[in-house]
Amino acid sequence: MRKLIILKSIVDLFWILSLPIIPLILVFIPYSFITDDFIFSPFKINGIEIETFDLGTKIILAVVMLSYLLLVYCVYLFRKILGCFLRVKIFDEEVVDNFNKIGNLLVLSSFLIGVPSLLYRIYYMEKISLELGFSTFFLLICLGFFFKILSEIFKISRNMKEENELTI
Amino acid sequence: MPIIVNLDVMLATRKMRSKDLAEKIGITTANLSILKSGKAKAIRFSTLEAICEALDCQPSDILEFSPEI
Repeated sequence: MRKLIILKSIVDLFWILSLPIIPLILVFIPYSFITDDFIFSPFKINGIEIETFDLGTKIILAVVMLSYLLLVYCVYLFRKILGCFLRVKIFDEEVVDNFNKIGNLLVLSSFLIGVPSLLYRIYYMEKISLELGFSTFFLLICLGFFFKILSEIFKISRNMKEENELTI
Repeated sequence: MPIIVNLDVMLATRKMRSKDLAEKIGITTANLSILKSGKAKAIRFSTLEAICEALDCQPSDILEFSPEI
């Protein structure tokens, strides 16, 4: 249980630190479409330095920011799961649903980060490169599927628990 | 579920209350109620043995198979 409390504290802290960024992103996305002078230029997306600031890069930036919002929502859902664990609601419907939601969102955000950066490489840098090692795209997609599998396992465990409780 | 539990019929014929049977076989009345209502997913042989012993009957008197239509 102490480990759970430590993890919950870390996730809570991460959640609190991410909170101020949400309104900033919500303001920044429409702002980036209005203005042509980008204050943070040049900036990096998935390790690629973006120097040009036209409509294409603006869309890429908006999509990447959107994926960041999805990741923050995943942290929120994970917090809820840890809250359930602290209340000893382990094989609950809410836990199964949230694990599945996190999995779906992580897979979606991995594509929202991976596809724009690939398109940027092809369109602006005119090259396709293969990266070996840990890339954000593969890490997020693996994590997403891991959470989806975890959801399935929790679903099976919940059924087994129910069956055990209804064995007289 | 196609398995029907005829425990209430057996209790009525033996003129025994659920509470008494639960006490005799050593399970809670809540669990006996689950068994009687047909919500139970499984029954242990030890429980079945205790019920049969308490009601002086056979497992077939308590459990019945009726295919679902």
